[in-house]
Amino acid sequence: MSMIAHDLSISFMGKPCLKNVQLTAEPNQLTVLIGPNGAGKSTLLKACCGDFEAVSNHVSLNGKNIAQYSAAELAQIRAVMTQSYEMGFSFTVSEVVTMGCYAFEHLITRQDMAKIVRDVMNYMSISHLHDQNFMTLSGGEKQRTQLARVLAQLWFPYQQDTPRFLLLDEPTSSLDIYHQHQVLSLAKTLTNRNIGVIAVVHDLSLAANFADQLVLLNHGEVITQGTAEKVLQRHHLDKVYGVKGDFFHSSPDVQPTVLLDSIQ
Amino acid sequence: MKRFSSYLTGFLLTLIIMPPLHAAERIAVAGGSITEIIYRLGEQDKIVGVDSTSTYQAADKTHPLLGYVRNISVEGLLSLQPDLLIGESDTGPSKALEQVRAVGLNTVIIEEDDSIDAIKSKIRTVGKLLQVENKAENLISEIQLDIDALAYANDKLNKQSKHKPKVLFLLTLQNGAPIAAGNHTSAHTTITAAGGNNALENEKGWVKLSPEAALELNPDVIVVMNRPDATLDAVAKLAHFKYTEAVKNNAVYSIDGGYLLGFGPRTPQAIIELGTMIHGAFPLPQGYQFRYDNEQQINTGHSS
Amino acid sequence: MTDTLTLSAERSKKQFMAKPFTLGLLILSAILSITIGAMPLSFNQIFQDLLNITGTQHYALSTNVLLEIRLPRTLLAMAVGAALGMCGAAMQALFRNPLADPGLIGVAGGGAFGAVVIIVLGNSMFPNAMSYFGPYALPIGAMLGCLGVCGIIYKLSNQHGQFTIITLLLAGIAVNAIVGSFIGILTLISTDEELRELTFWTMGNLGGNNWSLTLPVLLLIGISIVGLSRLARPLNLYLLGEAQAEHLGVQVAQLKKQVFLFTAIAIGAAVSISGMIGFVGFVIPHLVRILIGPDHKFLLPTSMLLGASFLTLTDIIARIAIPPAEVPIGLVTSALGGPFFLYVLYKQTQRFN
Repeated sequence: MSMIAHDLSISFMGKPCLKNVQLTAEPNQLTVLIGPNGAGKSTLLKACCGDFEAVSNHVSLNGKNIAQYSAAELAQIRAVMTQSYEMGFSFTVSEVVTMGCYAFEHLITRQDMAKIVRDVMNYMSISHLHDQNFMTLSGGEKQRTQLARVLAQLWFPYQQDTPRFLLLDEPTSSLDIYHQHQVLSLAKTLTNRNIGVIAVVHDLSLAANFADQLVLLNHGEVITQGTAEKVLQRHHLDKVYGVKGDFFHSSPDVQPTVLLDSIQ
Repeated sequence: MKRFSSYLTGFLLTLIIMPPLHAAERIAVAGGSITEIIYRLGEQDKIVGVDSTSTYQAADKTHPLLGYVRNISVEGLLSLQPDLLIGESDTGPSKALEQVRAVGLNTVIIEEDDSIDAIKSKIRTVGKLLQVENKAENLISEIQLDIDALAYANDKLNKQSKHKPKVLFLLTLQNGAPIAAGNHTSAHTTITAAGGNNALENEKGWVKLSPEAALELNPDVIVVMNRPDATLDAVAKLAHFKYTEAVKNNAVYSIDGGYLLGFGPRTPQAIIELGTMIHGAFPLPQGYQFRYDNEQQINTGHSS
Repeated sequence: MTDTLTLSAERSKKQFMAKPFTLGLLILSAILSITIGAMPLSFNQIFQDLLNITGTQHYALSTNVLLEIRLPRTLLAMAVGAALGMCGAAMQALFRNPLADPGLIGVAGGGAFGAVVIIVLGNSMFPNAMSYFGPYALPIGAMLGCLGVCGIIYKLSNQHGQFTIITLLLAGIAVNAIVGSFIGILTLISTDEELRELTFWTMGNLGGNNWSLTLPVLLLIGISIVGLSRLARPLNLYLLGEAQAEHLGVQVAQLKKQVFLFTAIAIGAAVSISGMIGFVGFVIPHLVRILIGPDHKFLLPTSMLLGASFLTLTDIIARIAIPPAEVPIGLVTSALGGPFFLYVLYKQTQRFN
């Protein structure tokens, strides 16, 4: 029971974006995709969502091809936060968050739904914004609102045997350092609820801090995957990002960090 | 729904059972020629409303206006409480006519084409509807004078066997884009009746003329509708006609649209007048005189 | 700031009030529409006539005017207005653009094309059919034009099961342009009278329709309204984005096709019988959204009711402005709605300063 991409290849207009990618994401684990711009992280994530119909038979969820799920079935076991979340219509924050309940709103009472919406908004610390117009929010507030919506989708039932998955495409791109940590630690807690989380994160130190599994991509290929110590080695950083630096994780006083050599 | 349809059929039945034997007292008219006929019959007091093509004697200004002949408002029409609607064949929209009939208003559409014979039968029909058959016959015999004169003139012209002048009839000169009459138009009928050849007889309907096409036609006579002032100047100014025979010979005229093309009682006389324009010398029988106004509103204080 | 803080409470109050208020407005407009007209009918008389429908066999002219003219016309105005309002809201959602209009999917252009063909070519090209269908020829032609053009646009945007909105928009523009040039060619060969009839058609008119013309239109519009109402929730999600809606469990491709289909049916039916009535489909939903927010659970029914009231009221004005003739209703909707909408916009921008 996991999310598996096997032998996944995608090309746009003849330009290959993913080449024979193998990826297994377990529930109870936070998998973080890292890699330079254009490495294929978002494409891999979208393929796992089922956005590309042509390759959806290369992705399976809990042992079943995602092509065989209906949109409604899929919505009950996996939630997605995309990079683009702008909207030209003036919904309020709580209206947007409530949309996350669509997949199960026929199963619960109005009061329960209101409680779920309240809970996830508290979780993302946006309760004070609940009746603001979404279009007038700051970038970070919008991102947290959308995260709350995605969380709401997995809030019912709170715990279940069938593993569920949460896919996050750069969920921290507009957030301050406090909220970056908050979002990833939230992702980490979700894994205790039999939910597998797959996230694209650019900040290597942040990724290393929370991830159970790091997947390093470059030019559409998986370079290496595993623990932070294994993935964030000096030669990998040099080869993939073209930077010279080391991963420090032995000091008990600070969190593990990637530090770059001074320029000389 | 059943209620309404049974009710509708009930009405249609009453319509069939009860033919309008009594003379109409309140008449709504859709169609300029019919209004003109009613005026000529001296029955204009019975008119309660006209359409916007009824320009004769400024009828469209003295009576409530029903709108354009093809776009009549049903309830507006009924609010005038007419007991008869007479219309020309293009009265519409047809769904509105159907509604008017369904409500029980006696509706007569005179389906006549634009021809000289049709004028007579039109007058006869209107006379019958208004129960003034005698007046109608008088009017017809008056018109017969014009028709006879026209036949006489054409006969004479044929005997002279000169070539028939090429006539171009223009609806408008507006924006330097003249629109001319081809065949199957009322203007074509009148040109032919006046012993001319329509310069544009190979085209069908009203045609927008390009300058080169107009020069190629090279008409001998040009007649413009409703442009009494400085017709020659206006026509000569256009590149279309600058070098035509018509402009060279000053054979450019204007004629009133309702008078000539309305196909009402004045049209036969108007055709004779057109003949004098086309031929210069139009051989008319002795003692023939123009009797009708050749414009729509010569005297506003008409006999009413 | 206080304004935005109370947005939610204010909005839910307005959402709660919107339906009863617009429904009341609609009932009031319907009563006015039945009472007012060029024919003077007293309230008393109307009441008695309505009671007597089943009773006596004899009907006065006033009864006929009421049952054969005003009643179908009022229902038609309500239905066409409802269709324009609701489909406008649905189109703005489909294109995820608050400035969209039902005309974008080719209904108006197609309808105009069908109408022009009937007006200009009908009598010469298919005289038998014309005399057979009589007054139904024009609505049928317009409806066929709508269906034809919508069908082409649908085919173009529906490739491999994917219904692409940007293709829909571009195909709509291109097909509308082609249809426009066809209309131009036909007007070139039309007579003066045909041209005038055509001009009147494009300005809209609700008059002259008897029950047999009105009922099919009411039925088609009714089906579409029911169909669209059921799409309110998914349409809300759709505004987040197509991928986002799909991730939340909406079958987006199907949703888009349904919105397209229902809009084409309702607007096609409306256009075929009433000609082109612009402005309502664009402004009414826009206005309602300003007042009660974008939630389609409230936006769709309120736009429908307000559209119906608005068109019923404007039709009254069209009927009584220049008796016994009528003003084309399209002119009234624009002349009245335009300044009103500008005023609302002005108030809106003022709030931010």
